[in-house]
Amino acid sequence: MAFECPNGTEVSQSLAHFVANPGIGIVESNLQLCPKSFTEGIATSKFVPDTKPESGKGVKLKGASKINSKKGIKAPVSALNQSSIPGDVVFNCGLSITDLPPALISEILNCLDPKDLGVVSCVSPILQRVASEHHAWKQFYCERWGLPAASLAVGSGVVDDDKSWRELFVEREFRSKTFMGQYSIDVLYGHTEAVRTIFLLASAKLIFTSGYDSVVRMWDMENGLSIASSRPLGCTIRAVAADRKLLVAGGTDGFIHCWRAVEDLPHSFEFRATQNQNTEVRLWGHEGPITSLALDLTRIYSGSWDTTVRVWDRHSMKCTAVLRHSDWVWALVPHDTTVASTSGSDVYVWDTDSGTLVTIVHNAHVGNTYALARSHTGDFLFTGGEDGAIHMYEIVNDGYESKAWHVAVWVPHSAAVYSLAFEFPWLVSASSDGKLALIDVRKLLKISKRALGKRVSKVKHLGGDIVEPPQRMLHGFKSNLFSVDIGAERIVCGGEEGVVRIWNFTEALEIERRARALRGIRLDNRMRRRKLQTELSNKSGRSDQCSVAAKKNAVTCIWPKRGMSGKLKA
Amino acid sequence: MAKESGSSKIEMLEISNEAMAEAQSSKIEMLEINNEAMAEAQSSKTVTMKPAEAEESKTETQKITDEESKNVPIAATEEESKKLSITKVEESKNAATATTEGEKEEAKVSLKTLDGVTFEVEAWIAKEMETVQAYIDDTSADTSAAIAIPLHNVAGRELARMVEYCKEHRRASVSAGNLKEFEERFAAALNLYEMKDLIIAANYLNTKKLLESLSRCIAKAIKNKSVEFVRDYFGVTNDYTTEEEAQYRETNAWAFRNVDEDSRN
Repeated sequence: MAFECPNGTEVSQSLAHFVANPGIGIVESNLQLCPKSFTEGIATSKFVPDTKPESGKGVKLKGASKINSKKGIKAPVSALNQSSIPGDVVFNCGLSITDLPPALISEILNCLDPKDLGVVSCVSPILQRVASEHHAWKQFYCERWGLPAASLAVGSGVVDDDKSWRELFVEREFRSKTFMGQYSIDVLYGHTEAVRTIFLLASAKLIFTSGYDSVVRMWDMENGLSIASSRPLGCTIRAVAADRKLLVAGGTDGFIHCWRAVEDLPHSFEFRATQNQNTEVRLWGHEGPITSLALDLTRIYSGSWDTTVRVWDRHSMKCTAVLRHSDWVWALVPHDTTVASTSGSDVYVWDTDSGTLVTIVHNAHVGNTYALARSHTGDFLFTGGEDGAIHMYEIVNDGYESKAWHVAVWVPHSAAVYSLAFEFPWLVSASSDGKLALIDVRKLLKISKRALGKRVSKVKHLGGDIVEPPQRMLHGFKSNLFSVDIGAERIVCGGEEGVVRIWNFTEALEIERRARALRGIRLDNRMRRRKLQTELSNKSGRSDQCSVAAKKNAVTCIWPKRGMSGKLKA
Repeated sequence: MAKESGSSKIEMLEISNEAMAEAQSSKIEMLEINNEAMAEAQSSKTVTMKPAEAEESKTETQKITDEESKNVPIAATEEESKKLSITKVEESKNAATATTEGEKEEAKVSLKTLDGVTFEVEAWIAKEMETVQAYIDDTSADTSAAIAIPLHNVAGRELARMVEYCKEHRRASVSAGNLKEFEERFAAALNLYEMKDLIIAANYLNTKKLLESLSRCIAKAIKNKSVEFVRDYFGVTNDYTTEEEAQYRETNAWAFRNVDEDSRN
């Protein structure tokens, strides 16, 4: 370091000298770029007037930036030096995005969806490492399906240790194809009249049903056995909702009957309590029949024909808000701080905390809008109505106001749609024509995300040309289907016949694997037969050679040997 | 006399470049050696330079001391320093004067970039850059008004773009449609190289809105495209072997449905 500062001084002197003599600038730069040994630098430091070798030493010490600065200064002197500067710029710039730190690349990849992340994983190992990052995949999983069911029982830490979120996502994505596979049908008998409502609690493997016989029944999801049934509640039960803590049922008389979960019981709910009376509560407040119920972590939502939706606090069991509509309320679905509801032929979206109306869709259906479903992120609404059509809306929140854009329409039924259920990417509809329609909405979700902000392209989707027909229709009923639910690779529905049907798709993947294995075995057998036939044709070739040899012998033999050749031919 | 004035200007540029080079190299060295080096630098410069230049060198040494004491955070990846030509410096100066022409009455903050250009921006633009705002909060009001804040990792071209973005973003925030239109127009004017430099500068100055906007634009360009398109757009060399790539394609086969096949070309 002691030699750096004197060299700096002399470098400036040599630059002044260079400006004074522009003719020999090139020669001096060549001399200055020559490397010098360290001992020569020490030895020649005594000779102050001799500036050339010491200036070369200084250039070497300061590195490339000094050379660049000299080239910059030479620019007004000669045109040849000007052309070299763009060359330096082009050489230095790297057009690769991987020059960015991984945190910034991760910021860019967080704006992508899972399919694009999968494509980016195949680009290079660096991007593959960043694309497999943990928190993005958890966000994708929870957006589509919520937290996995196992984490509720075991705890979210264990799930993280067992599998990465990416593996969970890919596995779940693969298993969502099962609804296109083979199924088995279970029929649950027990109700004496029509089944009006069904709820599938996949995390606890329970099914709750109720209907005109005013009894709430609890079924085991896997083996289809009846676990328990309640006392008659005195009127038609039109709505049931449950989670692992609370089961609620609403009836025609306008009350909400609640059962709290008991932790010791294997099936959580005790319908005929003999000891503890605190597990049952009955809420009053509605003036008409209750048509829909829903739960979230802190609230109970109920919709009624008295044109109101009431919001109840789960802890105090008191009504905290009343949302007034213009017509009978048919269905409702909450999400975070909003609740979507249908009333008459309109669809409403409310802010739950303030009780204000966020947006409204007028005349969603011809006639009443009976059914409502929502994606897990709350951005997509599906409605079914009296005209047999199913509409899909997207709630776009611009930050100033929310709007509901119409995305798609399907008409798979010839009669009213009474119930809808959604689990990404499948939408299931139950209709009074006795059929269920399975609709894959994956492409529509992608299209509508791409069209965000561009309102002109929305008009094209209203025509319905792009929308595919339903992927599958499930038959099996003669008359009205009132309710349907989907979850855990099963579809459960109930209707006027008084039976509950379960379409079980859990075996679909295994059946497909067996079918492929059988096809493989058949192919192997065919290959073997063809090999055998080829060998047989080779043997017949040998017999031809024998006959040729026999002919040769016949030509050369004398009379007594003709008998021998005759025997061979015979 | 004309030649002498030209040579003095060139010497001024050279001295400023030397000062910046010394500042960069001094950070690499240890603190004790820095003190000795600066002491020797002061003694040598006072012998050779005029009194006015000596005062300038003293102020520069004071700035260097202040910089080291403030412990300004450095970005994770330091980009290699590039020297712009005189014409580019003039372009940056013109851009700076154009942006600050009509805003003389409000309180202003001076920002000095890597290549020696000084920008004067309004206080609300400086608040968008959280690194600059933290620097202003650490110093007192009197000294911050006088001294230009040094930005060692940001070039003049990127800072001009960032200032332009902040102004237009505020103007376009009145309606959401105008804001999206502005962001698309702003990103369409940049190629990947310029966008990458701007992302690094926005990360260093901690300008969150600009960073999110640029990330969104790059992600939007590669949505629904094939592997070859993404590789070509990002300028990434294919480091996979044939077996590795086939394995990853098989693992991610679920992601290749509905990929835009036209983007292979």
